[in-house]
Amino acid sequence: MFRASALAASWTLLIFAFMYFPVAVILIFSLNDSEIIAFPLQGLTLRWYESVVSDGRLGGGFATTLMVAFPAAILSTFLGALAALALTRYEMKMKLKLVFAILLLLPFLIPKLILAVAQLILLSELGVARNLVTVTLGQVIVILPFTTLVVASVLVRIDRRLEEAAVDLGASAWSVFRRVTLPLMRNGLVAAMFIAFVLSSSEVVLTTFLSGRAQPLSLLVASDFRFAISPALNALAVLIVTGNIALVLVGEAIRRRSERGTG
Amino acid sequence: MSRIGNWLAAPVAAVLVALCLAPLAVLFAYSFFQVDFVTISTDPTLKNYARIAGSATYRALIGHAFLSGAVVVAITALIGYPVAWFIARRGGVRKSALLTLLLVPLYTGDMVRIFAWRVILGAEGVLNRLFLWLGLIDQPLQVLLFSPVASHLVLVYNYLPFMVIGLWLGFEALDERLTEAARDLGAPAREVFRRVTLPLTLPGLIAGGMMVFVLVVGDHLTPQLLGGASGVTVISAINDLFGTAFDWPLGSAIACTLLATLGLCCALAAFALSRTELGRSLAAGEA
Amino acid sequence: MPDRPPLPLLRADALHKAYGSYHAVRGVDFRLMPESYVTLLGPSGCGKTTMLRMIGGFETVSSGRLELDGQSLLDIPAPRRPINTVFQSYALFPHLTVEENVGFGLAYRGRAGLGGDGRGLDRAAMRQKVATALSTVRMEQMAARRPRHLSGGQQQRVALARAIVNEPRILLLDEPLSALDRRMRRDMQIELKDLQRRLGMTFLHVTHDQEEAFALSDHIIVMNAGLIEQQGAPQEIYRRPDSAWVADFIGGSNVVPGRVLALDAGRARIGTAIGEVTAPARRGLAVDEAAALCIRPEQLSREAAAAPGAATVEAAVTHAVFAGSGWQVELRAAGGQPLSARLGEAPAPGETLRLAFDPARAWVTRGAAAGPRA
Repeated sequence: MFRASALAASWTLLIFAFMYFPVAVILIFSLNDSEIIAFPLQGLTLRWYESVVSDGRLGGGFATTLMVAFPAAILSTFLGALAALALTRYEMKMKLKLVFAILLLLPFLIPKLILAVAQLILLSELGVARNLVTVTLGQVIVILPFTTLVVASVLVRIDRRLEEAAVDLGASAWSVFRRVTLPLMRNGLVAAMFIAFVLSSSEVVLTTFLSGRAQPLSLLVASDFRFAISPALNALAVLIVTGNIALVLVGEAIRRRSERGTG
Repeated sequence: MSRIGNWLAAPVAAVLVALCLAPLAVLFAYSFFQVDFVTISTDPTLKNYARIAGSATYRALIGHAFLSGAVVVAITALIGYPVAWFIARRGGVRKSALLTLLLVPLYTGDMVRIFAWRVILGAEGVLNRLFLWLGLIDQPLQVLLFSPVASHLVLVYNYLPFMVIGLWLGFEALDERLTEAARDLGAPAREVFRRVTLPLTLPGLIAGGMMVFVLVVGDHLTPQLLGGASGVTVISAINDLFGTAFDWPLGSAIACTLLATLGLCCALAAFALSRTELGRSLAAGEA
Repeated sequence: MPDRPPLPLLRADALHKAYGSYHAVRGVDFRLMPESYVTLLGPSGCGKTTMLRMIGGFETVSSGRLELDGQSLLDIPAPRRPINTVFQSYALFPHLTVEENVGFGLAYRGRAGLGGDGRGLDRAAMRQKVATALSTVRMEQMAARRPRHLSGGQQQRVALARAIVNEPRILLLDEPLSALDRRMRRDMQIELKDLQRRLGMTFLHVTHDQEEAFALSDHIIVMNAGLIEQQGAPQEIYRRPDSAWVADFIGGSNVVPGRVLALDAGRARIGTAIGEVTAPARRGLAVDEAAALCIRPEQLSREAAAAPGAATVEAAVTHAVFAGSGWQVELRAAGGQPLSARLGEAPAPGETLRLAFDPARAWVTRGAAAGPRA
């Protein structure tokens, strides 16, 4: 038994190393003082990061990303919260609930490219020009399953008796929500918003099809990432990864805190 | 009692219908149209489907996509099982830390991930240079990048966390005492796995497998950018028909064919899931 | 003490609750008198918690009547009922302080409804009420803390304060002591009883613990399988169980199955495996009916110590445990009938004893129904 455990532990370590290997490689070579991405390492430098930061083209893309990611995060979190509340908190007919849950899963299960072209056809049929609004809406639909899951994971841990206790003490359905459910799910909402922001800012497939002239960062760097290799790109990739991971970890920490609070 | 849930779900359902179902419906309608020089003729026709059925290329592409899906499911299941088992047996903080660590790479973004693998696997990449430097090879290994091996390696990398999550849920539902009992009754490790662990974690395997399968079939960036000549997939074919080839109806028909087959697979998996013990108890418990 | 009004505070008539084809409560009648401490006692799944939730308004009533002060509760939603609950494991709001928890319900007091005075409370009055409630449960020092920083017993007190601050007509307690350890439970029992007396409030307490029910109640309602088996004062239920099931569930008693041979002026002659005995009997027994003879262990003694007129039984010792004030002895009598006795000195294992008991202090009750009912 001990041997099986030790084997599984080493295997898990190996797999986790595999999962972080690409991140580690780009991190190491983004700090390596050489044009050539190869061992042996040539010494430490920050010049690749300097070149990224001083690239004005990326700044504009970053602003566009924010203009898409903020509304997308807020909207998808709001809708995800409604969906999670409906699924976990309030009464719904069982059959209706199942249909609703499958509907929510569809954008996750359908290949993104198919969803993107379908939305493209619809837009062209309706004669709607592609712009930041169409990207935002397109992204909201693929992010929605994730925000729903994050909010629901917090909601299922809230003891139903807390809401019953509020009712028992005279609170109306709205008061129960405002004074008990909402404060207890607030951390879940924040976590969902962080994750939605990350998913939105790194989404490329839908964004390619639905954005108009204004291009967010993910598209600006996509062609570089596709075809070029350079230490500066390493640095850019590291910045993006760090930003994303930091946001996800902060969100996760906030969600965890809510678990402890209701435990 | 009023069903507040319905009122909460209604706006979400409306958004999903408007932004997901409606586009798919239009896509479906387009699959019966036809390109007439530069315009699109809206007379309903089955010609697109007839073309797909008659074309060995499209059938092969769909077949390839499903084969890739199956291969990646098998590999992720094999390497994911011990990981999921290990995570499920950790306590409290360690478990949630491991799960978080497992999921974090999912949020690095498609392009960054593909870029990182190109840096590692390319002809001028880290591995080749390392091997050259070490004198293991005297020419860069071409098979490392732009090959089915490369694209499947990265597909496994991309979707392994989904499989592990599925399997982990399966292990969480498995009572550790059952495997202990089996061992106590003298079953060797392999038999314990085959007769107790596997059947009881099957729901997790099916759920994880379904997710990985669908995501692999739907991923076109990875094969396109890392698979080289093998990178033409059914999804990238659809992409081309909507982009350069500008045959939206045929693209729609291929998309609908693919969705229908995927839907069938999901339905089969869901049916299999509902037949397992856990699936049944979940359905009863959520009522 | 003021004169008790003749009307019951709460009346339940033919109360029934079905979930699909499962009947959790199957037609139950009872009254709650004002200022009384009443316990709903029964094993898990007997319907006692469902009863409590119907009274609190968390479950709809399938059929029957439920009246508070002669007014039907059925159309009054839970928030408007002048009834508050101390929930199992307390359900304290983790995001609010002790003070905010206790003040939670006062904000809704202005609402029209049974018991509401139609006027809201101003802030100062609310603070005053919260302070009073907290001092009632001796938690005034903890007002600013969050629930997770309190011990189980402290959380229990806050839950009590949060309910009583609203001055409910009835306080419902759902297994309130089950999360506490044994010693804490003893202390809280005393506090609960004391609190109920001081406030003059009606408490309806759900528990599966017989000792707890005996320690607290003025009135016990014993439930089994969705029906009331017996209700009455604790001594009544202990001394004169209405059925073999009650005698067995209350515990402590030897329940010997038998058959009624003859009836005469409140006494029955019952034939059992340990012989024929004439003892006081429950009303409503019929000759030749299945019945049970109940003998409490402390009534059994060695034959030498028996008074004249005592009945005797021969039994072999199977097991003896030292129990402080004496020996708890398990025996097996004729026909394999198990018996327990409390004896002053240790018997030898396997020894056959002649035990005596006073039939006048034994009790004949209804026998076990056909098939298990629990």
